[in-house]
Amino acid sequence: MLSIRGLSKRFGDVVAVDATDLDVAEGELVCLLGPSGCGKSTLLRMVAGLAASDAGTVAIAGRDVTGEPANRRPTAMVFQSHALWTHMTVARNVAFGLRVRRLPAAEIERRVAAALDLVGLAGYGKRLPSELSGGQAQRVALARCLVVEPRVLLMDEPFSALDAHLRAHLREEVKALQRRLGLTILFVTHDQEEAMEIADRIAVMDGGRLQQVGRPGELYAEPRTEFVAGFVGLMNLRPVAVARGRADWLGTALPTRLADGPATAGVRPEDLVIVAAGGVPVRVERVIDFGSARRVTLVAADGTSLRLQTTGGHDLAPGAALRVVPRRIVLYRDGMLADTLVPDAADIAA
Amino acid sequence: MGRRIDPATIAGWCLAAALVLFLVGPILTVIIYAFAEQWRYPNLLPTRWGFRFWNVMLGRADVAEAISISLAIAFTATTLSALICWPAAYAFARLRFPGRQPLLMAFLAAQAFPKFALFIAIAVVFLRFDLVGTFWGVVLVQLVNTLLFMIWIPTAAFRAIPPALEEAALDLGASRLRVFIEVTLPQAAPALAASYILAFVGTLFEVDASLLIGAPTIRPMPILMLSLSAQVVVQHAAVLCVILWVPAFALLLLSRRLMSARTIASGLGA
Amino acid sequence: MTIALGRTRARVRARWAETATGYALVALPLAVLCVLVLMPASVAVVETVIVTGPDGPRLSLDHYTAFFADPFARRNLIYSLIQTAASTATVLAIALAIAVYLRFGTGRAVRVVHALALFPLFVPAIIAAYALIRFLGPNGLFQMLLERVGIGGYASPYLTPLGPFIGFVWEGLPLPVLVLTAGLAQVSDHAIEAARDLGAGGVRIFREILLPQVTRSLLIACSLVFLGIFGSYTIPYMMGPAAPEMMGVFMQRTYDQLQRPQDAQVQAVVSFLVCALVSVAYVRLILKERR
Repeated sequence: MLSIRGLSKRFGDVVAVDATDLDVAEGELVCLLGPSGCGKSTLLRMVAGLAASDAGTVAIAGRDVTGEPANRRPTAMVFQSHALWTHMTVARNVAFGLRVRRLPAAEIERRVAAALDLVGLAGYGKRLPSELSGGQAQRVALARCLVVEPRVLLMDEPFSALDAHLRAHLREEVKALQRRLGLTILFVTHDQEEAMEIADRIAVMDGGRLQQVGRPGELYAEPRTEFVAGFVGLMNLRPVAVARGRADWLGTALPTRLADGPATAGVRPEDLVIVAAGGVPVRVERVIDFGSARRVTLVAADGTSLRLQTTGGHDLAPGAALRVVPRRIVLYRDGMLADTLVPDAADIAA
Repeated sequence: MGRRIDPATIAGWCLAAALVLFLVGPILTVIIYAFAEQWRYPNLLPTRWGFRFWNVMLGRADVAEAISISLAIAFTATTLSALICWPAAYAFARLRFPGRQPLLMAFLAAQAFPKFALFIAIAVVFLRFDLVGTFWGVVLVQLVNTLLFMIWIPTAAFRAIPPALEEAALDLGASRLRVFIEVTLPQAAPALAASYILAFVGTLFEVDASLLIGAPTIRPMPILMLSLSAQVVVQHAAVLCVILWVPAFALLLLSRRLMSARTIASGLGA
Repeated sequence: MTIALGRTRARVRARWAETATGYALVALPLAVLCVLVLMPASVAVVETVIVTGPDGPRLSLDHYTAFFADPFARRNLIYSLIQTAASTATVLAIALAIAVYLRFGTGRAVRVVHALALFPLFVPAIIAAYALIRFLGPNGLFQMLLERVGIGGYASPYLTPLGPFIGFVWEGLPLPVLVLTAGLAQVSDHAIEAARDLGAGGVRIFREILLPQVTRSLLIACSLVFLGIFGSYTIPYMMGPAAPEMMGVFMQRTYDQLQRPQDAQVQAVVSFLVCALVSVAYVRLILKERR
């Protein structure tokens, strides 16, 4: 439905978006996830036509819209600030896109009512935006977009101005609506939890480049760049040296196919396993008990801090001495995934 | 139980009383005069009340003429000013072009001169173009007075509109013109109206420029007021004062409702 | 790549269009500014430094030496400066006192004082001047009030230097009150409480915490009030003495009654120069913030 090819944008010397390719299928919700300033909002604005691209193309439903201004593209955008027009009633706000399309009055009235009903605000049409709560205002903004039946719905951190509880609630609603109506959505967020929860696929961006695109579980399980490893979920990342085919992870030399040189090793908290003997000696510093699991902050002999997640019944008082082994390690060189190690007992003993 | 009397509160009410005496007292005096047929010293209030002087003033041809010429000048000058300044304000707020900020600052120049000296300089130039004593001469010089207000307040108003409001409309398919008419303009309307009222009332009561450029043929209300104020019969000027001030006060209060005091101050760069 | 190049060209064209539209929209008011403000001011300066003698026009300061040689003109200039400075200082002192009260006072009196202090904003100068004459003039309401409470020997300020002084304070009060109130509102209660907690007295809090917050606003208000008073005509004409006169009245008489526009021009340029320091300060203060 949405197809982005080689899209680029510079602001002076700064490359905001660097030759990006991305596809969003019909009925799919793709999250653009990244820290602030990574170029995700610029990318979204280029899709909307609100920012001009320097190179590359945007096609929507098979039509190249690259040269078209925002008002001729079949997109609609929900902004971070609800961007409702304070001088119009809720109904008039929602009707705007239909009035622009010169629909008959009766048809407009019917569709506005239906759209407000869809977002759970039936009967709010006569109110002014100033009489709405933050969550209601954002729902009206959503209705204002839905009513014109855009081919692609764009959402630019739509819930970040709301409190955590409301945010989670609206997230659910948007996801449900998207499933029910088969909406195609490109959704920008800096909140990885939000992305994991809502997205069919996540596109992680950093420094103007797409780092990795994949299903939420995939990104967690197989982070292909060091950035994704650190940004999506918790990961114990530390520099390691590779010499003669072995990576030295806290005194444990693990066999790798990597050539000699520096690398970065990553271990998920749940991939650190407590063992009775052998492994790396550590001391427990802090324990957070989530009930279903415990997250433990450990300190190794050289001062390295590690995080471990366990569901086991070990005695984990702060100060206690433990031994841990990594069950799975990913190695990055020059920021890219280079090797995945699944050490066996023999490796660790060595 | 006796209430504790706070010295700060007493000081506050004393201050309020002093301000009433100093600021409201004079205006009140004039209003009383307007309804006094006879006020003999040393009575605190008129010795005879009545509307006699109202009938006199309202029947005078020069008063009617002064009011109509004043309204014509103020309306022409302010509308002209709005027509040329508001689009410029939009450009200053929304378009990007080299030298935008310095040019906006240039409009402070009108405020940085001692006003009357500037009017003298203008009058000398106008003499050569035979603009002195003409309607359009007065309109032009009044334009100078309105310039800063009519540029700076609307510029601030246009700038205060979040770009997302316009982008949302554009994104929903509206043309640039439609976005301007349906979103930008209504959002800026209160500030635009307020700047119009301020400029209008300011022009209506402007004495200095009208006196220099308008004399002797163009005699708007304030000039008539000036000559009446020197006359022996106090009530003539007092009645004219009330006629002039009441609508002005109402209009200015309205403009105050339309925008904050802070905006008024920012119109002067303060 | 040709597509990208074409698009770049389109964007350059769009940028040009935006620039052209911008200039087109600001051109008219700028023209008004140039023709009606900068041009007359420059003309006044140029014409008064050129003297046409027997051997053609030449550059000369004769007009200005003549102005400063005239004891009457000198007296008017000095009087204008003193009158303006004294009135400005008084307006600011009163406005500051009111603003501080508005910041820290509580209760209904605060709102009443606020509304009252802004009241002159809604009264045009001509009406204010006339009203003050009727109120403070000989046998005016104020005198009668004083006599009622047994105070006799009232000397009216009308037609004395005190007359315009009172008029200026009256008209000039709202603007600095507005500006200072806004400035003081930015100082949080916590900042003041913290200072008090550390043992700072009222004077020190005022000098070191409140004043720095409003210095810029205070200076802008100061220059605006100064320029407004120096360049005024109505109030000194209606309320002031016949001699000495303030520059506005002096210029008007020279221009209109004496029919000597060129001498009026010289007086105008002298006014520009005397105020230049304040004008430059005003413009620089505003530029400083916008950067």
